[in-house]
Amino acid sequence: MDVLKAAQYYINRIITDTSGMKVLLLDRETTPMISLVSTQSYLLSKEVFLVDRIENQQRDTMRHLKCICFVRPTNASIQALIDELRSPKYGDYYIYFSNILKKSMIELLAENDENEVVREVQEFYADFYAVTSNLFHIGLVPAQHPLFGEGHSWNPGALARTVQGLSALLLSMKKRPIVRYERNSAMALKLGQELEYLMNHEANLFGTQAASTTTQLLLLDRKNDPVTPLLTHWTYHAMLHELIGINNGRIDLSQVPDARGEVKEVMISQDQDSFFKQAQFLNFGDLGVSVKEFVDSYQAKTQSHHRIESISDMKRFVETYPEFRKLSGNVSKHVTLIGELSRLVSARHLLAVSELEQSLACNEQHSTDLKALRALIADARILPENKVRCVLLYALRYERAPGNATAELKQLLSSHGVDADMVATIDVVLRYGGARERQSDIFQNENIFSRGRNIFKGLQGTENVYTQHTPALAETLEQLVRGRQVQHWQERLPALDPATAVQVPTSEMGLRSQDIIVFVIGGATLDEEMAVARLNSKLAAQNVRIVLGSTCIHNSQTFLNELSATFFP
Amino acid sequence: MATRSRTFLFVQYRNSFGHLQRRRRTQAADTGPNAEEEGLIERTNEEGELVIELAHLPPRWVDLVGDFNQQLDDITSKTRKLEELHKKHLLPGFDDRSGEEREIRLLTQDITTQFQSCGELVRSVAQQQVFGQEQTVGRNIQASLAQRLQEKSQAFRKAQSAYMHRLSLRKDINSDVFAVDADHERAVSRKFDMTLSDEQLMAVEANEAVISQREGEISAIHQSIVELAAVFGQMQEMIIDQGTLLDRIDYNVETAVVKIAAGADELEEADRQQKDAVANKCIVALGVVVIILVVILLLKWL
Repeated sequence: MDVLKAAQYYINRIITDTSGMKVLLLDRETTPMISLVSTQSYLLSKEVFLVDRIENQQRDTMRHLKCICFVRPTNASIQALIDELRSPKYGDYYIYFSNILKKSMIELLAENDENEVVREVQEFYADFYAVTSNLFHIGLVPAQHPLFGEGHSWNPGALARTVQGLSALLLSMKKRPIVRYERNSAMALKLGQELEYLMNHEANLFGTQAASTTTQLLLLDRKNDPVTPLLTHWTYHAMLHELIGINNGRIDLSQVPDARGEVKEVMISQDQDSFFKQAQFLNFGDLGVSVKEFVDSYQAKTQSHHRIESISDMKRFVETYPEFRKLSGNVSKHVTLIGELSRLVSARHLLAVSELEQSLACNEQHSTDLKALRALIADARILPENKVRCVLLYALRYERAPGNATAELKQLLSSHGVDADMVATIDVVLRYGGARERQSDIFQNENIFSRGRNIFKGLQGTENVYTQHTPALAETLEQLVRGRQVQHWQERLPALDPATAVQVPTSEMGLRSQDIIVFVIGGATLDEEMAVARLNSKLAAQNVRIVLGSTCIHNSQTFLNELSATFFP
Repeated sequence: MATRSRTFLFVQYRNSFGHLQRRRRTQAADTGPNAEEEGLIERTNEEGELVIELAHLPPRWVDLVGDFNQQLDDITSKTRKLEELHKKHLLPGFDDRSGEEREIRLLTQDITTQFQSCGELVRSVAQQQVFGQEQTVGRNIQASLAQRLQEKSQAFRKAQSAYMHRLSLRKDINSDVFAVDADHERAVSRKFDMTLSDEQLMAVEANEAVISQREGEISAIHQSIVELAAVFGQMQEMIIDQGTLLDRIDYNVETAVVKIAAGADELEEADRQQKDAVANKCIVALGVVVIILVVILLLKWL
């Protein structure tokens, strides 16, 4: 249950199954997929001497090289392959598809392989973007692939792509899960039905449903928790995505004022960057400490390198030089990134904003919140985006509270010069994930029991005001794994096929081993990834393994943009 | 991690299509009037010129990579042998071991020179005049070979320095032992009239010979490490730094496309400029001719 490993296994097989000098041809989507999990130097070490796009028409003929194609079975890629096979530029062809091929596609390829250059045609199910070992996404970037059709329904293209991506993931893990979906979400139901159909249709691939399967696929809908993507998060990975923006492991620093020339763009990866792996979930305060230690250890090494007096010093230097160079690049990268983060935090007064956000998300204090919110809107130093997000949180939490002042706050926003389009996103989000659409009690203010629990939690006190909020997903998963509130949850997450009853662990202690694949329709956040990673490490001894997937990885901005495009009133 | 091979199905389909095509082709050949006269190799094109299809000769680096692989394999087997010898040599023993030592020295030198020649090979990959994608391939090959060489040579150097370290440790121990001996001897000899017997002198001389020989050994190994370090330094420049943007696959694909496009643009630009240059020269030449003719005309009139 490690998505990164699964994808790496496939890539590894693809480039090592064929020996000799090779060309690797990729298409528009497999290029970023492979980039996330492998590196150029790894490809080079396996004698892949040229990597190019299959759509590129200006490739030179090199008959002495073997050609490996790794493409998605889309019409465009098949067409490009046909063009290639009609006038082959390389020696032998080994074609790997990242998903299930239609028979007609194979036929079409065979028909056009007049020179009989194709040696192999394989399906290798690496049809997803593996970001970290717990997190994958399908790559439905809102700008290019709209997720929603009309209102709460699928765009047909996005649905097909999601089914493909999820089925590839299941195949790569060799799982045939029990599919459960959120009862109030038509999109989750639709996706579940499509998946179930595919699993029955391709039964020889997925295997028949084992009665005692311990794998569950949970299809969740973002609309049931619109709060998490609206908050300012304080962990390293989440901050980078929220404040600077990560695009498939690449961070564009060209907007950063004090970045030096050679670091216009940097990359982060759990696999190749040990500091990032270790600091990924640290909050901003701990991050400062940890980067300080990192720089200190670097300094100590630099000093030992400066002192080259004897031959043995020299020898040691040469031996450790590559590592040293790698380290120095890494240090400067992280220092630049963290410097930029802290600049943005202070420039946008994010600490003050975050305090209010957390209070809105976690505590029920209408009058104090309203007062603080009015003061925040009047404050000219705070960015309009942050003001709108705070009002949004308010509108979501106190939607049904007596004395709701959302309308007044909207006017207040407009009078303080906030763009009308941005003010309108408040209605957009309410339409998308307002109380009417949600089924779960994310604010814990709907019935007396949860209110009581909430107050109790408040009495316990909090360690850190900026990180009080835990995503609703964390609680859902924890209760699910522990089998608490069975009736309630079964109601909320029914299995698609009622015949497969979900077994319930007998007691608190008897956590049975199970694998859970969570898929969030409408974008996951990196905060949820952290929740999953924490649960994984907590429950590792009980053999509970959880993987989080989504249609894309959202930060507050992409989330609001996507919603505005569909739910505009 | 399931996979599914569709090769069988594909080949089936291809064969069925292939049948059709071949049949069609043979039918066409049968009906053709001069099917039998068609040559096997020689063929003439529309202008009646003889065309002999030349197989694409692979560029030289194909051979270079083969050479390199062979050499590297050779090095691997030799290093393994050397390691065994090292182990054997480090065991204490009493027989004459100069032969063994000579073998070690020769093998070490051999491996070092082979590493150097590998380095030469890697450098020569880039020294060829190629254009377009061949250039990219050449650069990639160079990086790949350099990387592998680097790994190998680093392992070798580590093994060498570990061996050297242990050898020098042993030397220290031995000299300590000898020192005790010498003290003892001195004490003894002080007692016995301050003279050494012939046997004792012989023993001391033998010890000294052993020590100097060992020093020679160590310096030879040292030499090999230093030489390798030079190769290492040269290779370092060609390797892709891991963990940087240069190591991203998509970045490389994008820049390759951009570079090719830019190259094409540049070529066009150069082409245009060259054409312009020719035209300019013509204009100047014609202008000169006109002036000369006018002068001649004037001379004629006068």
